[in-house]
Amino acid sequence: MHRAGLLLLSLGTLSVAFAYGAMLLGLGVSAAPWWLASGTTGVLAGLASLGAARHGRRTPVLAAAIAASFVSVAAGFLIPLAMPAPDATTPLLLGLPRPTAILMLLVHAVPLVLLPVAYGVAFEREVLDDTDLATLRDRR
Amino acid sequence: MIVAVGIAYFVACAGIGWWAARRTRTTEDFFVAGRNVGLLPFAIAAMATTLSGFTFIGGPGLIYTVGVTALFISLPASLTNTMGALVLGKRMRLLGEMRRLVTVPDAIGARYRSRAAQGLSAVAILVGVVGYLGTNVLALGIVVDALFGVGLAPGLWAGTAVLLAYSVGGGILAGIWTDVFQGLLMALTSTFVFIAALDAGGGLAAITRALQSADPTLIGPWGARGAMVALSFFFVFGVGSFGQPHVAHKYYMLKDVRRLRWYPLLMTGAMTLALLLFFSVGLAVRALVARGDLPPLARPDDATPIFLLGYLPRVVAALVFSGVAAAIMSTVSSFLSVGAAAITHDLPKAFGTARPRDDVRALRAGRVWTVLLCVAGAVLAETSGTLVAFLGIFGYGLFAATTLPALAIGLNWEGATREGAIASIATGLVLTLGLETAAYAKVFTLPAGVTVTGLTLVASLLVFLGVSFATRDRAPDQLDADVRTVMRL
Repeated sequence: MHRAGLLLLSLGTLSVAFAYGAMLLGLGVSAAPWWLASGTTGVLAGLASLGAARHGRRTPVLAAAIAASFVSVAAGFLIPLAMPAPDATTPLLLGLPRPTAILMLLVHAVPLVLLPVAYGVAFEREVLDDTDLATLRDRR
Repeated sequence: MIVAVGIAYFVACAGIGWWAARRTRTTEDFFVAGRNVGLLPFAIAAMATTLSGFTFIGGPGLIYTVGVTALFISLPASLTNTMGALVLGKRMRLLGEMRRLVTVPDAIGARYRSRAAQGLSAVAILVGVVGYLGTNVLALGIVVDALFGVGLAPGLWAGTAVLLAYSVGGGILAGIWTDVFQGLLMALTSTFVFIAALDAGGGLAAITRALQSADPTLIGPWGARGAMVALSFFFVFGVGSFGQPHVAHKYYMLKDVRRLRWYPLLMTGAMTLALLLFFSVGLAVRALVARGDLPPLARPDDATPIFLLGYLPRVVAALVFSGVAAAIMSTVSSFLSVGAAAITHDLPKAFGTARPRDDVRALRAGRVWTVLLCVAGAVLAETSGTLVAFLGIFGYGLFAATTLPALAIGLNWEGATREGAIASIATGLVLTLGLETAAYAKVFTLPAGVTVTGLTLVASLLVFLGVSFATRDRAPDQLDADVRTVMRL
């Protein structure tokens, strides 16, 4: 979890740098949003993984929630990037043009529910328990 | 009606300040609310501090102009509330309790065992705070003027007086409880406005069709400014949110670290309600203009006032105007606390200069510097013309570039080094000041979607990761045992 987090963070940062570099140099401008979408997702997923990692302990519920959330975010960015731009005839989904609705659902709604619920449910086993607090009390 | 509700609101804020002042006896009370804040007030106060006047006035105006593009400023909230607890919350709260830390630079100093990193971080925070204060005090003056019609300068000083009334006496304790009052007001009024906006627009599908008839890109997945600008907003406001000291600093105040458990759920729920206005008003007003039900706005920032006065009962409009003042004041009071702590606590500690000899004197120094910072912000807002807007622009980016790598990554990666932290803070400070000033002076123009904030944030991250990696052999010696224990929990 820790190494994966650091790798995602580093690759994500490089990807964002590529996106900005492409725009500044005017090279591969059409690919820049793809780099930026992937990079931003990578940086955030890396930070979340680093935050959830615990020395010598597994955090399966948090890891699954983080993985599912960021796969959803990545899909929410990349699917609309691959779709044609909507016009007045594009069918609506939940009152929005279909690509907009897909983006809102995958980037916003899925992690909005998944992450806080997983954090609350897994808190005692995967974030902090009484043994951890006793360890700290001993150290003091 | 609007004047009466406005007066009642300001009196309530001053009353909370008076109550809190009687309970503020130590510097820990003044700067970290005695580490005694329960979950509900903590979550609502964090929400109120995160949102500013932009959420209610500038944001809807931006959505009116560029459509969905502007939503990417608030979309990361679905991730960042829980991530804040994961990345910062637990470790900052535990470290704060073990080392009696009261500021964000304190945490950076403790993490790297470095007074230089702490001092540099405090300097960066102080520069950003002054800019932010100027911008927000000016916004407060505009709102007070709109509520009472007293003129900008008297409105600005009247708002400053109320701010001082509760911030100086009660410090962050008053800030927290006014934040709770203000946060509830923001969430409640935002929900009312959302329902009214959908009703006025004939529902979301009707709003979408009206927008498509005017300009289909407005309601497309990336809005009128396209994917690069939208994604850049997401990067800056998503990743950068972990570097905002006035938000991170609040983790010290939680009464019991175990209460973090349901904080993300509460914070996310409260913020979702408070953001409903941001989401709905700009789109609804633009749809009403497209249908010919409203004339085009002279200024995009008029979207919220025109909608409130035209489509809501006066009492609700008055409450929302008070909610706008609430959003601004909650942010300003947190900045005052962070700024005063940087001056009275971090800089003397970092540079080894004299600090107040006892807690009574330290508390007095905190109060004096709160007054001076607030007055400086008001003077800046009144006298500096367009410069104040410029200062506000770089505040967020400066915090993100100088605090995020050293704090958010550093507290979660044992391989991070003092050299990496100092290099990244210096890079963020120099690049933000240099590039923002050059951009303000129109020395260069960046392509759409590339911002100085985004560039400096990436540069700061790369420097932090690169220098830490290059000096990784030194990392184990720079980590105290108690800090390592907290990082490993």
